[in-house]
Amino acid sequence: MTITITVPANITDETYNEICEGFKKRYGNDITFLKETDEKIIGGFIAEANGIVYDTTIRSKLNMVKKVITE
Amino acid sequence: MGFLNVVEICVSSICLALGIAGLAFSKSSKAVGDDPKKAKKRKRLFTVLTLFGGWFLIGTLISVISNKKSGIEIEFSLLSERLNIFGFSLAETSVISICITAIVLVLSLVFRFFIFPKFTFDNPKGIQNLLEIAVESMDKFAKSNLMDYSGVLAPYMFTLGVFMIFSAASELFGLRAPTSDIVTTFAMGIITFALINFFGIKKKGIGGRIKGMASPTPLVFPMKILSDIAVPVSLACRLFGNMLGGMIVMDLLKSALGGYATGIPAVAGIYFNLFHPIIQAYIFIVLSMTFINEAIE
Amino acid sequence: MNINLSETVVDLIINILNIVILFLIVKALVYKPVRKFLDDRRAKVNEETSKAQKILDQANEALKSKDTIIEESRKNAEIEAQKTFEEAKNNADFIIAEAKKNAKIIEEKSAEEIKSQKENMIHSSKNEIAELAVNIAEKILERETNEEDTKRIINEFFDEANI
Repeated sequence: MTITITVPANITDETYNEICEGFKKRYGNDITFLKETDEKIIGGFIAEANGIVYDTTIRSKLNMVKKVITE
Repeated sequence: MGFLNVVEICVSSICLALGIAGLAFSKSSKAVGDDPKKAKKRKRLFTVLTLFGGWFLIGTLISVISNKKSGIEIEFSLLSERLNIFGFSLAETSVISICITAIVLVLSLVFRFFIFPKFTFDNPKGIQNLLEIAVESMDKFAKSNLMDYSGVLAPYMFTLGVFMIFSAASELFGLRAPTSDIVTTFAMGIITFALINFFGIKKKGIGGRIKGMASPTPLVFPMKILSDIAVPVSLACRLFGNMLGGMIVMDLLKSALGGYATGIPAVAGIYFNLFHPIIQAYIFIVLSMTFINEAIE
Repeated sequence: MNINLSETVVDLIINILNIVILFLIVKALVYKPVRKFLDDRRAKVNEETSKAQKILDQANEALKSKDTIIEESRKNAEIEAQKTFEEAKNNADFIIAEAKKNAKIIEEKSAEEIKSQKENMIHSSKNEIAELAVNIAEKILERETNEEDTKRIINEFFDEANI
């Protein structure tokens, strides 16, 4: 299984590992992690596993809020 | 030609010439300057002179040429002369009467087929006017006097009038007028008498007529019959006498003037041969109608 | 003077006949035609007179009825005028009512339009403000967010996911 994780640019490796550990707990140990950085993500991360996208970034939350408000 | 005749001829010629000259002068421009009354008098004078001169001259010439003697001697007979026609002996007046009938027949035919169709409703002229007046007045006259039988009697009276006028006209031609013959007038009287009785009987019946004669008392019956017979006789004699008298006077006048009988008899003839007969005709007709009326009442 | 009686009688008879014949001629050829002519003319005149009289009577009647006709037509004209007036009045009222209705509709429509326009404006203003707010928040968060916040988020996420 391959999971792509996108993190903010100023994140520490420690935090990154925490994310990986968390996914390992859920999906097992046989996971290959890919790391990507994006400056635009304010906080949190985006993980894509088996076609499922987990978006916890503040940016996306802000976008959601924006979307909701402007309806 | 005697000396007197020559003198007469000269005098008359001079008069005639003077008269004509005077007339010519008065008509010419020289006389225009005078005042009208005088001019008229002068004209009249010259006209008289001309006429007198002319008459005298003609008379003298005629008396010289034809040796006519003037005198008051005339011949006439009570009954007219007789003519011999086709072996029959007829009175001259009967022949003239028949001629009158023939002439009237011709004139009537001409009238009926040539003049009458030209009659117009509006604005009658000339002959049409004359005849209309004659017929209408005769009708009115007859109606006022006769009332019931005027339909038949008006034409009869008209006929009598025509006959009498034509016979008076024949006098102008020197013929003896039929109405101056007692036979003719007596014929007219007899017809009237017949008409009186005919209509009297028609209206009242024979009994009524005789009764009329017998009223108010039967005593008057013979007198009534006598008077009835006297009617036609009186009519006839009246007409005959008047016409004969007129004829005699004209004859006297002509014979008295002898050769000078030009112009004057014509003037007298207007009265004796036209006016007088018309009056007599009128009297005859009126009396006939009165007697018939009397019989009808 | 010698009087031959037989000849005289013959003459008398001839004269009587003559007058009778004359009478017949004049009556038939002259008198009767003229009389008939006069009668015809009188009849024609009477006819014309009666015709004229009839026409005169007709004219009089027409004159009499003229007044009646004039009166009637006057009345009719009045009635017609009245009718026309009322029709016109009705038309005018109808038109006025229609105009009023239309005006009201237009009024309402414009009110609606104004209202919706207002709403649109409010809506878009709201959106703009919201966007602005979110942008501001984004900018602030960009500056203020640190490792700690990220860690917290991660933990929250996995906590939730594992429940």
